[in-house]
Amino acid sequence: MAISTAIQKLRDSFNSEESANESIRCISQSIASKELTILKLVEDLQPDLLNQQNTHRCKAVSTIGTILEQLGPELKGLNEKEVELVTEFFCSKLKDHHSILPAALQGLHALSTAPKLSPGLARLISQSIFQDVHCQSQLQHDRRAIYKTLKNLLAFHLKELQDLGQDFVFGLIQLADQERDPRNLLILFSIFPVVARYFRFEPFTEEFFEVFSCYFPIDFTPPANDPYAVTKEQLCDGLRQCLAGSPHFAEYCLPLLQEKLESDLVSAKVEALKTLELCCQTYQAGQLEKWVDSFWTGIRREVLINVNTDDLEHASLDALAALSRAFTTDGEFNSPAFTKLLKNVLTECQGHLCEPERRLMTPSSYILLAICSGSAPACALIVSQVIPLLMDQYRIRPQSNPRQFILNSLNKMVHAGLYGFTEENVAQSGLASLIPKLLELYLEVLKEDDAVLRNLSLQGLSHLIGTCLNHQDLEKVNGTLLDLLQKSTATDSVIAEIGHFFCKSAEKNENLFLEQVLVKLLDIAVSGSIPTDGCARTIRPGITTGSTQSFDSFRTKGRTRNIPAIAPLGIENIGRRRSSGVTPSHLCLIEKSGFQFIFRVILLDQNVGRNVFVTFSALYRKATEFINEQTEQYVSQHLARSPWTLSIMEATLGSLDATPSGHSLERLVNTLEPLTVCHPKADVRLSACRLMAALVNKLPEGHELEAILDSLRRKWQDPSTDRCNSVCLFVWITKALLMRSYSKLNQYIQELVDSLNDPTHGYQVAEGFKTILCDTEECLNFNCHANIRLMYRQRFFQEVVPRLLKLYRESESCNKAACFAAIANQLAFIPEGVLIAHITTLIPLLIQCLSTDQPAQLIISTINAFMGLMSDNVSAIEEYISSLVPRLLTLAKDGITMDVRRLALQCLSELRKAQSIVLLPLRSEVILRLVPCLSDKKRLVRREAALARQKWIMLGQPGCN
Amino acid sequence: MTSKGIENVNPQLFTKKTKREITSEEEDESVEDPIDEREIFDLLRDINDPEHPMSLEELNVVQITNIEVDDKKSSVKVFYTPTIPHCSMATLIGLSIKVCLLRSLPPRFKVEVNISPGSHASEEAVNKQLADKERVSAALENSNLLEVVNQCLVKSLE
Repeated sequence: MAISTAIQKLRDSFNSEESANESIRCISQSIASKELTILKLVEDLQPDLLNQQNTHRCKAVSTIGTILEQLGPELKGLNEKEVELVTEFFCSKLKDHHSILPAALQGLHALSTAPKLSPGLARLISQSIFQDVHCQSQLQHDRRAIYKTLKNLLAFHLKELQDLGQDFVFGLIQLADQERDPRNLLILFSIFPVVARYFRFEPFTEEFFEVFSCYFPIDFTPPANDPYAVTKEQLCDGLRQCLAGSPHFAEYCLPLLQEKLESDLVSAKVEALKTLELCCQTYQAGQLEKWVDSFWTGIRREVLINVNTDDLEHASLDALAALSRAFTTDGEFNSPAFTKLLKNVLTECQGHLCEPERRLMTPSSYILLAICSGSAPACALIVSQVIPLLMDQYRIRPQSNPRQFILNSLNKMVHAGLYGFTEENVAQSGLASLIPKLLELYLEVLKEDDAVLRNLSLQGLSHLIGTCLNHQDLEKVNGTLLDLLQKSTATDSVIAEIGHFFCKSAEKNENLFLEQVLVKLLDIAVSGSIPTDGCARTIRPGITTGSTQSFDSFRTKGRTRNIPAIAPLGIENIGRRRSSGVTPSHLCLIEKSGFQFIFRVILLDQNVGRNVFVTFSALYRKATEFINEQTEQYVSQHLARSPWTLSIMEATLGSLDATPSGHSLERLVNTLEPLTVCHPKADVRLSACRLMAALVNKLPEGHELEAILDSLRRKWQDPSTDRCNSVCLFVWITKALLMRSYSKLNQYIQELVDSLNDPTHGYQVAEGFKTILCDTEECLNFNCHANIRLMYRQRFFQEVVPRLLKLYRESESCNKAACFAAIANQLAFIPEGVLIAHITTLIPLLIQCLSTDQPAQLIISTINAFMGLMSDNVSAIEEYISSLVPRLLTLAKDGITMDVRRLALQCLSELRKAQSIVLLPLRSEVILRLVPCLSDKKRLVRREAALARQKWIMLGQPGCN
Repeated sequence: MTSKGIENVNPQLFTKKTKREITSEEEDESVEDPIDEREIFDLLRDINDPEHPMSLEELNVVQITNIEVDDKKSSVKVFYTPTIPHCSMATLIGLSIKVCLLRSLPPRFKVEVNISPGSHASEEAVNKQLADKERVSAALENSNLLEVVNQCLVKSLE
């Protein structure tokens, strides 16, 4: 469009209702490319800009604003002079008729987005707005434009506006006072802290503070379906920043917070405490001093006296920590008020700490810890008084229960006391002189028979490592722990905790650990006196930090049953060394020993061997050569003779990103095939099926794959094989093909659906639907480099459901139970969005399954399907609840097996997640009909019945929402 | 709770029992499981104290040894121990226990809820109140009271 026509069209549009978007875009492009100047445009539009009619004039002004917006923040194509003129133009338009104002504000907002404006313009804009606009009588949208303009100006031209000083603040106060819209408030709350920080606002401090403090504490509930998504939290955060914006607010803010802390509303108290926490960072200690006592009274009440929600307790403790931080500068507290407070707190809390069996013990220790976390000198003081007290308390109490509470608090105190200290400066901590006594106590506790206490002691000891324990101490501790390990009383949790301790100590002091501990640990491991996994856990740090030497020593020593548990760790270690760049010859040595190791392990325990192999094959990813070699070796050496090694094969070959090829593939398949259906052991068959599926999933499409599939098909269609086994093979192969979107998949799906009709094995096929859709850990997942196409589950579901429905409706003789089960088994895996499309047809069918004359298995899988649906998306089935509930009630009472009755009752409980409005009409029926279930002969059923009945009784009652 | 303050600020705490283990008889369809003390205890243990965010088990208000069950004669007796002898919440706790049992036991049972002898100042009066069917049902007509009772019970259902 030529420029002149565009302008003409634009001018025409002022008189009509037509939109001139296109012409405007054309004009702004021309300006940006400097074909047209904005001055020329204004000249051309002069008659419109001066038009007597307000609406007409407004349109013209607004057009220029829109053009500026389209030119972007750089105001492309405009020179400095032009920008000045346009700014003056819009500022003068603020004085025009009130209906022109929105258009002028639009233009000014567009100008304010420009980071570069000539000096004086930002000032001009803000002053004109302050003088000529009565903000609160504008519409929400226009107020928003004003606030955004000011925010932009502050962001880009702070220096210039600072010169305005109080005038700016005064203008802003007048502008923003009594704003009510939450969207606008959010913008204002981001402006105020900037102003509070960079502007002088005396003598308007109180007025300025009033402008935002009047919203405190925020009470705002967003309307339902709020398109703007302003949340209460956003507003609270914003307001908090304002209140803590400047130390000058302290004299007004602190009384306000104090007042709100006395409120009856929990949310108000939480807000006050959170704000106090933030204020402590900006306000000065001198300002806080006057108020510290009354804040403590409030905090004490919330933590010690009242029983409160976690929120309020956390907020109280955080505020307390912030207070203690505010009063500490340069490692000293500088306020007599705080010193006095600290003394009072200590006296009170010490009293509670002496009563460890009572409730207040824990909250008092939290209070002390909060103060500790804020201030190092206060921490030193507290720790030096409280730790001896706790140690005494421990010694005078013989029962386990209070001792646990004491040790717990003690550990926390020790941790707090040592926080931030290193080995060099630990002497300066308040704890230094207490360490020998602490160590003594902890070692004493280790001798107790109580496992919980011992664990707590170990946790405490691990805090001491690295900073407080010298060589001698550590030797002593290590010795005790090794003794403890060999005692028959060492439980799993103790062993784990000891492992944890060694792990930490090996990190800090590797040599000592290797010399002293590891050798003995290996001895213990070899002697087999502690359970394998415990052994593995304690030795893990040794293996991971230890040298090749230790690895070797343990290879030669390890001949017993503990090897399997240790082996994976060893291999992991090899892997890590490989990636961290050890010299090749060295590596070769390690790998060689690793190999020997694995074979020994395999002979000992196939499950562990499998893990080892997975780790090991990770070292050799992509090495097709290696695979072929190994496959050959394996098939000939092991597989044919001892098929249990199959699980190792599965884990290795199945999870590599390459498959064997050519001759080795052929051999492998030939050996595997008979195993899939004929082997007497079920787990071997399953392993074989899975490995086969993994191969079929990864082989490239072509002649080779076709041949394998044909031969497998012959296998499962062969009437002489056990039908059960062939169904299993068929299901796994279908799964593998589905995942990779095989081109002839359709045929397989139809075969699957048809085989549901099998009167004896139909149900098993239906279970296969679950196998097809679920994730498997062993193979056919991303970690195993399976060939997986996106959304294969959805595709399968879309493909299969119509066929199932057709089968169900059209054939009289079909195995309906299997058909239902096949549908039910899929539901848990299908995303909601896909399910919704089918839900109206499927749910009524599924509800029919819930009848006492159906097989228990079908009922169970259907109820499970419903529960799965409910946990994600209860609203999808709300429509059907009224027909679902009576059936569940019947099942709950007359279900054939206890599992059916239990599940039906659980499902009824679960239904409580639905909206009350749907459930309430059913409430009295449910309550009444659950009465007989309370006398069920099985206890487990009765438990569920009692739960379900109580939940339904509570429905819609006061006190339970 | 509001900030009005509570009576027993610092009660003694006790450790909790582990979950009842499922026996093979319980999984056997043909065996009939009688209602026993532990079953009643499991119904009551997680009821919340009206004052503290703790269960009746943790505060030792309900103990398995203070429950008597006779499945054949259909009777259940629960003795509960308030944390302090002047506890004004005693009636409320008793009411919660009673309501919980009435809601979750078969109707054939006669449920008696009493304060453990000697553990509360106005033991007799509270026992009498709790035994009086009409007073119990009248109490539950009061929506404020029902709200508090439900709040105590609702936690035990999670």
